[in-house]
Amino acid sequence: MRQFQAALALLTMVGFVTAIAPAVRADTGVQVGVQSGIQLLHDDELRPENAPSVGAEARLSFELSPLIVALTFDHFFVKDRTLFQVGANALYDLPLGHSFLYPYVGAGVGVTRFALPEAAPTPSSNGEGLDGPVMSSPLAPGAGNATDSNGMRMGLNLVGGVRFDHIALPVLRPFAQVMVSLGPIDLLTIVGGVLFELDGR
Amino acid sequence: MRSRRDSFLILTLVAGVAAPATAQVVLFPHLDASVAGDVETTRGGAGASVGYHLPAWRGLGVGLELDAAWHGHFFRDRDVAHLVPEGVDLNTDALLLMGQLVLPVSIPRAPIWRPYGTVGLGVIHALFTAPGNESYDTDQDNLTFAAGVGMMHQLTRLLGLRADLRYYHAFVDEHASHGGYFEDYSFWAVSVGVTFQLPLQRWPDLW
Repeated sequence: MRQFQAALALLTMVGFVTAIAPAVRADTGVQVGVQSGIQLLHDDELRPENAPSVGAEARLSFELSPLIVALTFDHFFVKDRTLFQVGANALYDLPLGHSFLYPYVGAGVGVTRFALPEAAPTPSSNGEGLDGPVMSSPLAPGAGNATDSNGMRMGLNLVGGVRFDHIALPVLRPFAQVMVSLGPIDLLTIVGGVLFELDGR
Repeated sequence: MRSRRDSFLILTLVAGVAAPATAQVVLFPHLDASVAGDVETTRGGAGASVGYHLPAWRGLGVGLELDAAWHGHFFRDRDVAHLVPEGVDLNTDALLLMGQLVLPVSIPRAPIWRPYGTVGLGVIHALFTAPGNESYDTDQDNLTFAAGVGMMHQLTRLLGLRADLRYYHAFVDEHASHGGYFEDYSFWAVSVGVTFQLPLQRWPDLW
């Protein structure tokens, strides 16, 4: 039900942006970069509080849209576990920019891959995840009856951040952001990074 | 299979090229997540739709779409566990085949955003498989109604973003002799993906 509410929130937000977004023509461009941060939510089985992360990001802007599409990869360092997320988020620059600080918000989807230590193999119905056969484990995230010890889960990403854009740094675009992932695997990450402008006008 | 796929692609391209100046063929590959209802809500799937969109009346468009999606781990474990003895693994998957009417709306102030409503009918083909125990394998086909709302956004003349929230209701024969789930079920699903539009046009120039 919480996912349903998150989906409704996303649609409401999209509707709001639709209402306020000017029909501007945007510039095309490509930025790629690296990022590092920390995941703040705690879960006994999957993710300890303050798990560090590293990742990469590409931001694409398009000719007709004020939205920037950010494609992300983040790997979280969790002992004896695998946890990473591939995401696609649409970012929107808020019309509040000072001369060099540009706040933005965004929303998108994240596919989170996890692998837990395997427990005793007690097959149960649907013990196969989206990515192949697995051992049954009571440790699986997200739902009481999801019994995979590894798999992928899709969730809603909400992003808020600020990027630094100054004439003294013609190619570098440092940024900092907070991202919440809602769904079967909840994540709250604070990330800082730097993007390099490859192409744009 | 390959020739069928090639024919489908060629048909899509030809339809795009041959479309009236104000019509578009829209291809929509998408990821799905079931978010509430009678099915497993921590899972989802992937699919694609192809549609033909036309202007209808005063900024209101109309489109016809065919959509196919595959959802893994479709039913909740506890709802199907009784189909197999303890210790036997049972997987459930579903193929969703829908034909749907799409009603997009053009917003003069924001012409690259198009909210839409959709309503459709189709079939959910649910599969129940027990690896290594084929005697428990079964399937069922159920007439399904779907309706929802969503948003399309144009990034370039070719590419766009699209997201929607859809409600599905499958009508199941409670006295069927074949299958594994014997009552009506319904669920909500979110689909998110990109769109490819032909011919290459800015939406404000179309309608």
